[in-house]
Amino acid sequence: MGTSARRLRARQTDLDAVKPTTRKRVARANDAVEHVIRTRKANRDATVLHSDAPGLLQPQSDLEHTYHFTQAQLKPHIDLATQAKAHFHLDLSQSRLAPYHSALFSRSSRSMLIASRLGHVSLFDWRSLKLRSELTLNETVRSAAFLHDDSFFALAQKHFVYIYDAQGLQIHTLRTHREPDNLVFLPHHLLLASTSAQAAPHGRLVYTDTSTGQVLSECDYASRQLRLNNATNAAVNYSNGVVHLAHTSGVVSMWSPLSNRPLARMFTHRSSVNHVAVAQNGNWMVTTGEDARLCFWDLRTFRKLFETNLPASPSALCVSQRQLVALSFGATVQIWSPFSKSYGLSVTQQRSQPYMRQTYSGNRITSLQFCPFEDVLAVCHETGVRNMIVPGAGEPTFDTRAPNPYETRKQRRQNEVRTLIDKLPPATIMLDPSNVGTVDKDPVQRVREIREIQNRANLDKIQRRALKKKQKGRSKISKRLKKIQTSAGEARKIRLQGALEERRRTAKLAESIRDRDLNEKKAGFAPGGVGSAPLPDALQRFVRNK
Amino acid sequence: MKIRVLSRSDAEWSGRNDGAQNRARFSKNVNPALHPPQHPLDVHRSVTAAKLNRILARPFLFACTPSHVDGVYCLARSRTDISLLASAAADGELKLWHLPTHSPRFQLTCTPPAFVRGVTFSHDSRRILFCTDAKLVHSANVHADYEQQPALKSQLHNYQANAGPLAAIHAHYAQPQFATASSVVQIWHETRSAPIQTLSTTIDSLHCVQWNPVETSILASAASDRSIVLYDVRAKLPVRSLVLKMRTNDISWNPIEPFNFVTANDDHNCYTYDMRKLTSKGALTVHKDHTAAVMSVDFSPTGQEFVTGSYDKTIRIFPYTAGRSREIYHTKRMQRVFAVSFSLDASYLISGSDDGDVRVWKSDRSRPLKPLFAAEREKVHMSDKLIERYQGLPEVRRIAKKRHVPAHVRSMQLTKSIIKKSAQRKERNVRRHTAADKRPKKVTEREKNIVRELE
Repeated sequence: MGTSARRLRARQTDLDAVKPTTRKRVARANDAVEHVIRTRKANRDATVLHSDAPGLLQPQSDLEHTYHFTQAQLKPHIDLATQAKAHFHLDLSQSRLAPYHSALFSRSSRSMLIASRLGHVSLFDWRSLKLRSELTLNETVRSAAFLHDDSFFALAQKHFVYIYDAQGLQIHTLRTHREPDNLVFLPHHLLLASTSAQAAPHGRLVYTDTSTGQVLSECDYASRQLRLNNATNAAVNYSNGVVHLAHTSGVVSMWSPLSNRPLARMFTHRSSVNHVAVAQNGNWMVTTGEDARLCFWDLRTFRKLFETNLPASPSALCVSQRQLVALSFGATVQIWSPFSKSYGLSVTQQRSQPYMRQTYSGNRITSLQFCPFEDVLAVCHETGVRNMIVPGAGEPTFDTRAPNPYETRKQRRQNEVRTLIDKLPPATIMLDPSNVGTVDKDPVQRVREIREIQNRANLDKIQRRALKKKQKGRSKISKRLKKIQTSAGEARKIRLQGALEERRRTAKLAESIRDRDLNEKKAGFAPGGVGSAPLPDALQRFVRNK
Repeated sequence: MKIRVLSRSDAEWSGRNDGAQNRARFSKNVNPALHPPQHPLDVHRSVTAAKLNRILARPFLFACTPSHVDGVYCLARSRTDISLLASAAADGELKLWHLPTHSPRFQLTCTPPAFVRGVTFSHDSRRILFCTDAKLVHSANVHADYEQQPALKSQLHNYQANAGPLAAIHAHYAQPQFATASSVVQIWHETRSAPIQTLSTTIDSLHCVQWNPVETSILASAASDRSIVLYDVRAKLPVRSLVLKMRTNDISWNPIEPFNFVTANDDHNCYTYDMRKLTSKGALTVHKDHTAAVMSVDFSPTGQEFVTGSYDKTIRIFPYTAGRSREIYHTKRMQRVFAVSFSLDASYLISGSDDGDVRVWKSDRSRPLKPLFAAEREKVHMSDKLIERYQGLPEVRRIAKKRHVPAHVRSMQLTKSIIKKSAQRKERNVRRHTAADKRPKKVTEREKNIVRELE
């Protein structure tokens, strides 16, 4: 690669040496063409030659189990660079501001943000251990979240949500988010959402557009009508932008900012739901509850995929890019791999035993997070943060245009602009995003269809009611025959009346559709476009002068 | 235990190994989980693209200066040089424009001064031929320096016609010949002073004549008795003619499908005909949208669309198979448009109007004219595709289809729609109250304008 790149570069024209503007322009255009060729070639190579294979931990005999394999045993087998990542351990037991409750990776996996309950917040490049900013807030911090890239983050503090930049400067106060508890960020919609469960504005889900600062909506999820109770945890489905809230009532509710009722509610546990996490492809969701069960849900059918009993209710839950699930109980981390096909285990085995297990004795684990594009899990406990190597957790190939661990400053700027240009409007947040941009059926026609179904159903009911059996001399064969006849006659009468009414209604409809077509023509549109569906066959006979 | 853990060389991936330029490595992963949801994003991008198209729409480029004193009634583009255009006005003035500089290369006034009815470049584009009401065809040399040597202006080569005032002229595509229209169609050879052929009909006068660019012996003309006449110069007599309800003002052959031609009609419509099926079965397509007589029509060299100029002071562009125009151009100062022309590369339009101005427009209102970088070209292509794909969406359609039209056009559109509605209603009522056997035959829109066909 090195030599060919050098050769290409040597061929590039020295633009300043070329004086006349047009020639300079042509030279630039030629360079651009060359650049495109180069990019295309790189593109092709990148797609064809995926040199990186995902990580793997595979038993070679029946006596071996992946969950017996500890981090200490793993270390001799991995390269030095990865060993350095495994050695990452922040011992903050001397800090007065413990307990620490979050250790987050940015979307590009470059930066890590740690936050303690008593207000110690630190942002650093975790690979080079370069500190970018450190804050001592002397105020409760309940949750933290990165915004669209590494250079901004939001903290849910005692009263409000605050936004800080990479230097640690507080740049915004979001006063609408009162007493915030959980924070989530929707990177494609540039929305920051917080739930408040604590005090006065009991049970609020607030959305703020971080590109405009506008408060988009405030949903009262704990209202008496919805009866969802407190939200214990929140997660984002990145494939459609829906926010999932776990409630103490055992329900997981799914929210869009444009609706003051949840898009869907799933009764997931008979106890409080403690944690919820959504797979990156948006196909499934995992929940854990106070009942010490781990449940997997299909988000396309809203059905349970399977469930497992756990030794206790987990203190943290997290899903990796390649669909591994991490759980923690006290000082133990468990990794589950229910969907992977590469470990030589049957599906039942994969779903009944963990993939990996590790105990860090003496430390209560408060949160877990997988590092994107790496086989690394950040384990945050009350007195520090350490890394655990989990082979097969990260996506091996990243995309330069998506979050990119090696992005240059120029790429970061370009990506930021592209994110802003491609910011999805909040109206695209829905359970099935393939519905965006589809055209509604003609509402009148839809009402007609519904009415038809209703009529058919009611007709059935009438007939069934007519055949009700009655005793006391009414069961004579002559009487029964007569009764059946009259009821059938009655049913027929109703049916005919219905049909007549239906015919009148459809004729009226046909008329209205024709009028609308004419109006549209007048407005300069050809009929038969969107919103003016062509007259259905069934209505053709009502068109006059055929 | 088989173990493999992800590991990347930071130096290699960040481009540090790669020399001084520090070019980062490019990587691609099409896994949808790494990207924003594709479908909503495309919809969003298509709306943005439609809006940007509207914002960037600046179709009017410039008016050539100094403009004509009288109205411009005919235009002709050079057949070999993209930058040359000839225009002629009612006061007998001819200008040869050099379009890149927006200025005339030379200007002449014919002697005696008379209304110039037609102008054309000769078959090799070395001469400009223009005919006047004074029964004269003048011939000017494109390369002569008339401005430096004014004496040359009075020494133009003239052809004397004896048939009557000349109404149109058009040069042959292959031979040094041209055709003129007066009461008869006459074919001239450039080296002879008298016509070499006279194609006679019973018609009193013709006002349009157009050679077929591919079948070079076929000639289409329009006459004042509302007919379209097709001649084959090998046969001397009209091959076919069709009498319409209203007069045809101009004709243009499709250069790519040379059996098709489009006519500009006085009834506000344009009609595409197939010369092989020029019968009372009617037009291939009726192109409607103008609100006054269409005065001029010219096909794009690509054969995909044509431009029309109308008495309603607007210019429209029609895709050649579409019934409705895709574009309307107008300015406050542009008066009745009598002549339009596509440029030789199909990216510009030229219009000549009653106010004496020759205006140059872009044929694609929002496409940038500068040479594009590869990324820019891809962007333009991408947004075109997105708009095309989501054109049915109300949000996109509303923006993409919307055109501002002058108030007089708008009011005329409303009037026309009322007239049409009432005619439809009347026809419906007539049919409803007539016995089945006496009901008039339904006439389609394509054959409505035809009176009779003549063999």
